[in-house]
Amino acid sequence: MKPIVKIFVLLILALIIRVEANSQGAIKLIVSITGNVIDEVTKQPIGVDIELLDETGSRVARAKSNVTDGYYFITGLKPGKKYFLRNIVDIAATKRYFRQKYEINIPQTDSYQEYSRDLLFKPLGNGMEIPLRVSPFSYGKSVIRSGGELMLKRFVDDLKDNPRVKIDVSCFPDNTSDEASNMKLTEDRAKALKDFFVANGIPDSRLGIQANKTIDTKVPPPIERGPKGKQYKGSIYFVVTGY
Amino acid sequence: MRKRTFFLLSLILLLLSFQMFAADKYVMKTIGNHDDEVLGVYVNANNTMFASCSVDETIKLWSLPDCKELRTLKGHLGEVNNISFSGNDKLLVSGSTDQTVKIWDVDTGNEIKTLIGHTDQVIGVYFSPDVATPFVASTSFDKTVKLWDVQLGTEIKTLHGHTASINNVAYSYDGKFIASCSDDKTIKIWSTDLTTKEPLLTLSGHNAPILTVIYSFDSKKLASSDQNGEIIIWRMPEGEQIRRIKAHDKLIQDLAFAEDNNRLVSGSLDNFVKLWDTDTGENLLNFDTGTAIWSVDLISDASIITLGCADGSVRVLTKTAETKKPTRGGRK
Repeated sequence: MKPIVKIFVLLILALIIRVEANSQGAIKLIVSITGNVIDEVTKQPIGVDIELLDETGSRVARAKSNVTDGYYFITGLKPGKKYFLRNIVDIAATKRYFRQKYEINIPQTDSYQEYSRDLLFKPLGNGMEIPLRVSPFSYGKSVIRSGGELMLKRFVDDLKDNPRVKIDVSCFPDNTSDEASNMKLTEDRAKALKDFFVANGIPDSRLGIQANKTIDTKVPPPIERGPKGKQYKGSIYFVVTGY
Repeated sequence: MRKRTFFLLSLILLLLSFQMFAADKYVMKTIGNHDDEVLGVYVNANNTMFASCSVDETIKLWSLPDCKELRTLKGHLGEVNNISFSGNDKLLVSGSTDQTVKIWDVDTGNEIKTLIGHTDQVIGVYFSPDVATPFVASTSFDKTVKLWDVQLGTEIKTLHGHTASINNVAYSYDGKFIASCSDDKTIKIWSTDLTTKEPLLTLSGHNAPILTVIYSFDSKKLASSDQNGEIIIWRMPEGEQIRRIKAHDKLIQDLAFAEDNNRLVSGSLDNFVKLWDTDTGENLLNFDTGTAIWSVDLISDASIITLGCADGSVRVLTKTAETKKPTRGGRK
């Protein structure tokens, strides 16, 4: 048999085997997930070990994010499946983080894809101030506004996944007006947040409150009206008091 | 006879000069209100409708040119910072302080998808011009630009490079580029292909945080505005500065090009709406609205300018002299 014919026959055989294997599910389509891991307070990239869990909680893969840019890459995910990405807590690490879990839903696809998901992890340490990026209160109000609960639920989940962590809820006023009314406002806000956490299953003993009569000097209100998305509202921090 | 001819000629000249003068005259009308500040307005591609979004967490749709309120879209759990129609006007995308991007069906007002992935409030959203496989670009104070596959509802690319909060984003109308602008005083130009993750260009020149960017319809110009009230026009894709305009006394949150790829409208917190000839730098309109302006857009021939106002009102400026039939959207 001539070499060219041999190659042709081999190619045909390989094709048949591939089609057969594919039809029996022997060759599975996989996709990948990639992104950057970031410290929630400093917003700097971090190097941490992360694991990929399937719906049953079994580990499917493990990776380490790059300390320089926080980049991670995990492949072998199946289309149409739900996964969870979680950091592996290292108690010997110089900087520790809350144990946090992110849900990843991989869509159905018929070709290889790379999906993207950034991960933010909260640093852990006594006195660590974790800011709440978006205030759940309207200006000058102490009632959690409609929709504010959803953002707070994420923190509830983090507290449930880290049962030894204790926090103080610390609130600052929206302006530099009367100190007595500012004190009352921030106390009412801190209580409202504490009540929300308790109502969602966090023991009262893990929660304290801090009220403030003057504005947050670290993030003072702007002198002029700011651009879109930067309307000033008093800062809110979750201060770690034990872990 | 001579006197009569002279009188007639004078009358014709007077009428012509009045016509020229009146060409840039607009009248303002308040067409409705949100319950709080209006942060965005966006005219669809066919000039038949525009959308407004607000701190009150809702989006409203308005008909054009009669400016009637059509429906209110509810679903966000925070201020709705920006909106954009898809190329075929069937979908609307919105970005919110609740950190999500939502896709809406324009005909029914139903929420189709919620895109979760940003880790701070979403400020800018923009639909790709591609109708067959639409993508959405979004920007956030988390310093990233994200690209989403609308059909899959999945995040497909995250672009890192800005060193501070990103304020807005815009697709070029040829679909090749995305521009993003940031508090780091730079504009970055990104490729829309799915593999390139590094910026193609970084444009420097502003002396303050840049609040918005917008491409002209021929994709040959990019306009940007900043917190000091300055506008820069860039030649694209080279990224060369063509013109700087000290346009307003306060920050300019929004800009929009007319379909002639020349006229540009700007709205500012100094209460003024201004129209510019970007080729000459000439100020064509100087309109004091009496309220701070968050957002502007216009229909293609600039005969109607839509305004999103800090007092919660949605207003339109209508050109009184010329009445042209709209042909194509004055999309931002």
